[in-house]
Order: sequence, then structure tokens, then C-alpha cells
Amino acid sequence: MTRRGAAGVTRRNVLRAGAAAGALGTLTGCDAAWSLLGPQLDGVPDVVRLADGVAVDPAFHLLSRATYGPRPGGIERVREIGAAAWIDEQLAPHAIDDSVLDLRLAECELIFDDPHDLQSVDEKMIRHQMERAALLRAVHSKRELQEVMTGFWTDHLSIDVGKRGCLQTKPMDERRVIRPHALGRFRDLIGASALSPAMLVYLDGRRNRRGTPHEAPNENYARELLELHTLGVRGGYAQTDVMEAARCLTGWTLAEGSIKADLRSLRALLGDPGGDARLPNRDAVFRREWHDDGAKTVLGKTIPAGGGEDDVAALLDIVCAHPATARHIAWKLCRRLVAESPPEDLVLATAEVFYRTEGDIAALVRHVLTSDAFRASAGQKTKRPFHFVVSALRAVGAEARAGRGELQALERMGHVPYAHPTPDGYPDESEPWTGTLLWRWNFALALATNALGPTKIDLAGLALRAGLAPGRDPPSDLAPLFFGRRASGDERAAIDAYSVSGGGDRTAQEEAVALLIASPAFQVF
Amino acid sequence: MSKPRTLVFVFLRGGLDGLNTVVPTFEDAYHELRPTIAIDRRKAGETAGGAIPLDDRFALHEALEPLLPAYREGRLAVLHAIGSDDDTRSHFEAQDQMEHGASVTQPLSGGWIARWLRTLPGISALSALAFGRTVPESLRGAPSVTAVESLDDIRLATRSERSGDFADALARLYADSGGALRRPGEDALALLRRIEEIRSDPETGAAYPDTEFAQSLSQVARLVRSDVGLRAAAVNQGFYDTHVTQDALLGRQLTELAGGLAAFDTDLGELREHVTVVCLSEFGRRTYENAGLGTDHGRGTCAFVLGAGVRGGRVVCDWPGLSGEDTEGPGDLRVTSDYRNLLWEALTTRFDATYRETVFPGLRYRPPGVFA
Repeated sequence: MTRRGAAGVTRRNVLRAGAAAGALGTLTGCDAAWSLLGPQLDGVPDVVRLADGVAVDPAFHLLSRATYGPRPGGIERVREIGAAAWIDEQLAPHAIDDSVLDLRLAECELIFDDPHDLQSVDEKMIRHQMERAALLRAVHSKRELQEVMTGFWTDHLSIDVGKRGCLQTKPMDERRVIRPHALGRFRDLIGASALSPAMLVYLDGRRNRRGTPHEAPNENYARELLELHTLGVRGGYAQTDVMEAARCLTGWTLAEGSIKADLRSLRALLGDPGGDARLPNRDAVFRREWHDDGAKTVLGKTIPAGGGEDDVAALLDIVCAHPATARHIAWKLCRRLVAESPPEDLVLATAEVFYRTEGDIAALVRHVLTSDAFRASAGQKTKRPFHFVVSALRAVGAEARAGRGELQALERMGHVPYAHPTPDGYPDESEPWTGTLLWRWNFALALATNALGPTKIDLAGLALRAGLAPGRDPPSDLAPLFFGRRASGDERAAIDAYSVSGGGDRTAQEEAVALLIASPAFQVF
Repeated sequence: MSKPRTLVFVFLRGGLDGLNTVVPTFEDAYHELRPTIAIDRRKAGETAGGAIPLDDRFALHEALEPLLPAYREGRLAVLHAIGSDDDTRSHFEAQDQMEHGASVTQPLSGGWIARWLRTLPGISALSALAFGRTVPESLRGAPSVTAVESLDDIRLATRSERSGDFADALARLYADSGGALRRPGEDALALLRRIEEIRSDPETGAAYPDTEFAQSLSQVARLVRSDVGLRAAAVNQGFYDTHVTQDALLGRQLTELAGGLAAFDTDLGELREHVTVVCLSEFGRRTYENAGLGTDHGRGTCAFVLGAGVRGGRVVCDWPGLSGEDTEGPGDLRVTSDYRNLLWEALTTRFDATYRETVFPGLRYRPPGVFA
């Protein structure tokens, strides 16, 4: 590979830095990375204190929502510096060193490539690396809240990589649109998304040109911008607003010229006579001759004629500043972080923060996570499959490699990253996911019995660090790692009886731990 | 739980030669374009050879004879000159488009079956099933979809031999939880018990051929019989890419198709009223034969629908003709029937589907009229 973006260089520097420090010795590439990262207990402190209450520990609750799930020992850090300081630390992700994650992502380096670098790469390989990287980041990133919010906005601005041309553009969309703005300003996020090649492909913006007597502008993106990304479906806009918004966006398309020759030879190679597989360059381009430069009226506000390429900014200013947008985003965020039906006064107060701060996402998140409603909401949400898988890996300090075991589980549960078939993103509600329990149970069994392929765990080592005697203390003593509280009498009876009746051997104990992961208390958070 | 209806989507991959499968024997041009591989209409009084007359225009490839009873009883219908508007003639492009339920002007991602399933309440772990190692595009994005090579894959995978004990422990945990997960937990455990029972179900006596396709259908039948809430199954059949020596290749593929479907139909018996089978291929083949005694990638082809509610015993088509100006591109049967109309008619008449814009956005629906 010769072409690499800046991120690739950074990763190599990290590797070099590691080697210089002697940590990698003479080993190279990913073998070195994995040996450096240690065998089976990822980031688990030598002494793990277990929550010992009968109700869910408040620090555990915070970590359940503000990260992809507490890790062994995680609650102590929150207790040490206080919840507010922990939140502030996480709201400044760039100050958090995440170089170990960079090492892990060395195996998925296609995610750092631009569309034109990916055009000749096998699509299955791109997809596989994107899915693995999403899992690795969720499990291992130290910028835990940023990852949670990256997931939130990935759903909010959902792009299904199954649509032609989206697969090669989505990695750049995540790098340039989603992650950098996940805790930034909402207007910046929407502005970046509107002109992101992946979005221009996914919602057909690249085909949107000035209306003619035969053809109207393509409204697809404009509609989803209002319905899904900003005001919300009951946000008070009319069909004419959709049409006027589409006019503002006419002319924004993708440059293709520089890569056509490559593609032609690629197609010839594949025996493919054509189709719609043209891949865009890095940036959107404005084609003035496609733009409708007349005056527009959106949501009662006039955008004067002659605005040209500035129309898009004028449009996004209007829709992002609309009160319905504040309310819609506040509601979605409260639903994600607090409860499926969040309390109305919390939504209103959060919308107020949105309005006052002009969409400062970090301020919204801080407001929600420090609210009384948040503190009272432990266990009120059901984990979606991706969250379930990741939180299980984190709870046991797994050396998660995001291999076939994890990905197949996600596929069976219908929650593969970047693959929701419609622009509304994977549902946040629990109901659509209730049919996935069987596959959760099997994932729990595979994880606890070390049958997940390259991903390994060390339950005995974990128990030792938690001050337990593996083989002597009952498996349910590990419950606080999963539930944030001691096991109830009923839970103890079911779980420990399973271990005892199986003779208490290693397999029986591991399968008893699988019961902890499979139990209803670990499906909620 | 009342037994839901089940859609079985059989994807005939590779590009089915509709013209030699449901043969337009009335077209003089057919015999001229295919001097070597054309199939003659079976003559009255004969019991073998030639294509079996379906009506005064079309005749059925003799390898499909096992399906003749279903056709005559009105449970099997043929649609001809059907297909998509993808004219790349690329397997990959055309299969993707058809599995996505897309068109050239309405490119989509994710499967059409998946989008439909996402509109339904009460999805269980076994609502959607695919046979194979991976989830096919038609089901990608479905809420809970199981790709299995056999029903044996559906079990609690304990390392010990104690999956029964494990299920009992789960039953206690979920019963005690009292929360919103209690019911889904009980449903999943009940489903596992049903699958265990199915494994030991007596054979129904239906004679399934020993092919992967037929074995998949036999497992679909078992699931339909056992009330596990199966809504959709996706099965691949054949590889119809008959560029050379088409005669032998096509016959073999169609034999497998007919053998599997006929056994499935027999096996279902009274449960037929719950099952609708749709067989589609990504495109048809050129009207004229090539030098290798085969046919190359074309456009329109034929499709089959089998099951209760089908207004069968008919070949439904707006026949475009085979002469030069009637064909498309290098000489391909024109597509006069959008495949999405067939799929939506199946969903809306048999499965109470209502959200057309969700499942097939942008479709100008014109029902082909093959469902009552």
C-alpha cells in the first residue's frame, strides 16, 4: 500500500514510537501489537472492587449509559474523581490518550482510506474491516463517551453501506463527519453531513439539479434532512418546505473525473459493462449550472436569489436553529441516554439547553447525564444487540479481537454496524429487538467458555483480582461486574445451582457465568 | 399464537432462461432463433419428450412435470416476460437490485423482505430464516434473521451436555425477573423446546429428493408445521448461467427445482394455505442461441408462484414478442412486468402488508393479478 492518509501516518508513528521504547522489540505488525497488549485481561486493574449494594451502583449506572458498559474496576475511577469530573474528562476526548486503540486498529487500516483508495479493494474486505473497527472502538477506546455519541449520530445520520458507492465513502464520513462532531456543535455536524460524499450518494443529493419542465429536483435528502436529521416528522414543516430545501441544495454533487479511467479498467477487468458504481473523490463539488439560483422560502424565511453555493449554509442555519429541531434532538438524546419514554420536563429542559447553547452537543450530554431523571433511570432501558455484545466483552475484560464469533452474533441479531436498511437508523426502542434473546444466550455461552475464536477471556484471573477464590466461591459472586449490584436470592439460586449440579468443574462454572451474561439483569442497563 | 403465514422466496440464481422453461411454442421466431436448442411442444397422446402444453401458447419444460398437478389444480401460476429495469446484464448488479427490491431510479440498500419484516410486530428469533452460511441480501437488515445450514444449528450451545439444565436455569431467571423481558424469555425457551421436538418429529412420508434445495424446503415445512412464528424463508436454488450446452444444464437445474417444490407442496398438505412460494431469477437469457449451444445474459424471464391464494393454472403475461424490433438491446426478451409488482401483490394480498412506500418506495403499483 502506498497511498495513505494522514491518519495512516499517525498510526505508523505510534508503532514506531512503541518500537523505539522497546516495547515491541523486534516484532512487527499486528503480532507485535497483540503480544504487547497482553493475554486475556484487557485493562483490568490488579485489584477489582466489586459493587456490593442491593441496588445498582450509581457509578455503574453512569458507566452503563455514558460508555458501552462498565469494565472491571471502572466504577472506582468514577468514585475517585466524582461523576461530574468524570463526565467533563470524557467530554474532552482529545485530551484522552487513545494510542493503544490505534495499535489495535492496525488490523483494519482500510477504514482510514479515502473513497478513491477503496475503489479497487474487495468490498467484502472493506465491510469486514469496518465492522471489526466499530466493535474494537466500542470495546477498547478510552474516549468512551465519544464512542457512545458516535454510535448515536451514526444512527441519526444513518447510511447503509449496502447501497452502491456508500461502502467506499462511509469510512471517510465517520472520520470527517460523525466522530469529530459527535460532541461538537450540531450545526457543524449537519453541515459536514450535508456535503459528505457518503450522504450525497446515500440520499441521492448528487443527482439533485435545477428543475426542468421534465424533471423536478431530487427531494430525497431534503426530506430526510427535515424529517429525520433536524425538525422531526411532526416538526411543523410542509411539503413546500421540502421542495424549497431541495432547491437550495441543487448543484451539490460529486467530482468523478479524476477517477474515471481507473474505474473503466476495473470494470473491464470484472466484465462489468457499467452500472452506477462511480465513486466520488474526497469532496463534494458545486456545479453552478445545476443550481437553481432563484429566491427560496424555507419555514417562512426567505433566502434571496443569487446565493449560489451559499444557499446550503443559509438553509442549514434555518433548519438547525428551528425550535422543533432543539426539541427533536433533545428528545432523541434523552431517549438514548435515559429512558424509552423520557420524562417530558427533562426533554423540555434539554431542548432549552440546545436552544441556549446553539446546539452544543457536549452541553446537552452533560445536562442529561447530571439530571435527576438520569440518576433515577437505572435498568430502565434494554440493551440493543451491539451494546449487549460490547458490554459483555467489556464486563469480563475480554481481549476482544472482533472476530467471526462477535460478527456472526451481530448478524443473527440483525445489528451489524452500518447496515440498517432505511435512513432512520437502527431503532432505539426495545420492542424490535425482543426476538434476539436466543442469540444473546448463545453469545454468552461462547464468550464465557472461550469459544469465540481469537477473542479470549480469563475468568479465573478476573475472579482472583476481584478477591474471590475461583472454584470455591460461587459464580454468582461475580454478579456485580455485570449487574452493578449483588445477585438477588433468586438469581443466586438459579446460577449457583447450575454450577453445583454440574459438579462445579471449570465448565460448569464458566457456564454459570454465561447465565449471568444471559440473565435479564444483564439485558437491561 | 395463531399460525402466521410464511413467505418462501426461492432465488433462482444465475439468470433463468425463461424461453426454454416456459416455452412460447406459438412463436415461429422462437424456433428460428434457436435452431438447435428450441424445444417442441409435446404432441397429443405422447407422454414423454417435448414441452408440456400449459395453454394454447406456452408449454412447460418437461423437467418441471412434477409441478403440473399444482398448475392444473390452480395453485401454481407462471408470470412471463417479468424482470427488473437493470440492464447491466451483470449477475451481481441484477441480483443485488432484485434482492433489495430496487429499480434503477430507486436504488436501495437492505433487503425487501427485511424492510417488510421491520414493519411487523411480534418478531421472534425464528421469524426470518435463510439457508446457507450468510444472510442473503434480501434479508439483510431484518430484525433477527437466522442463517443456518440446518435446524441443528438452532440450539443452546453449551460446552457441557447440559443445554436442558441451562434452559431450566434461564427459565427461572426470566420468570423471576417480572420485567418486560419475562415474556420474550419465555417465548425463546418455548421455541427451543419446539425445535427439540421437531428434531424428533416423525417423517411425514414426503419424498424429498436428496438435494440441498429439497432438504432446505423440508426444514421450512417442519418449521411451518411447528408454530415457531416463521414469516419468511429465503432459499437459493440452482445456478442457471447456461452459456454452453444449455440443454443438459437447464434440465438438471429444473429437475432439482421441481423435485424440491413438488415434495414441499405434498409435505405441507393442509398447511398449504399458510405458505406462499415465489421463485424469481435476476434476468433471463438472449432470445437466440450462441455457438456454444447455450444462451447469454438477457432481460425478461419467467417466474413462478405456488401456494394458496394463487390464481393459478395460468401463464400471466403481456407478451412482448420475439422479433427484432420487439426485443431489447442485442435481442433480449423485453421486460413487460416489473418484478416488484408481483412481490408487492404477494405481500399485500397474502400477508396484509400495508407500508408500500417502506417496502418498495417509488413503485407505481400495478397488480399482475396472480393472487386472489
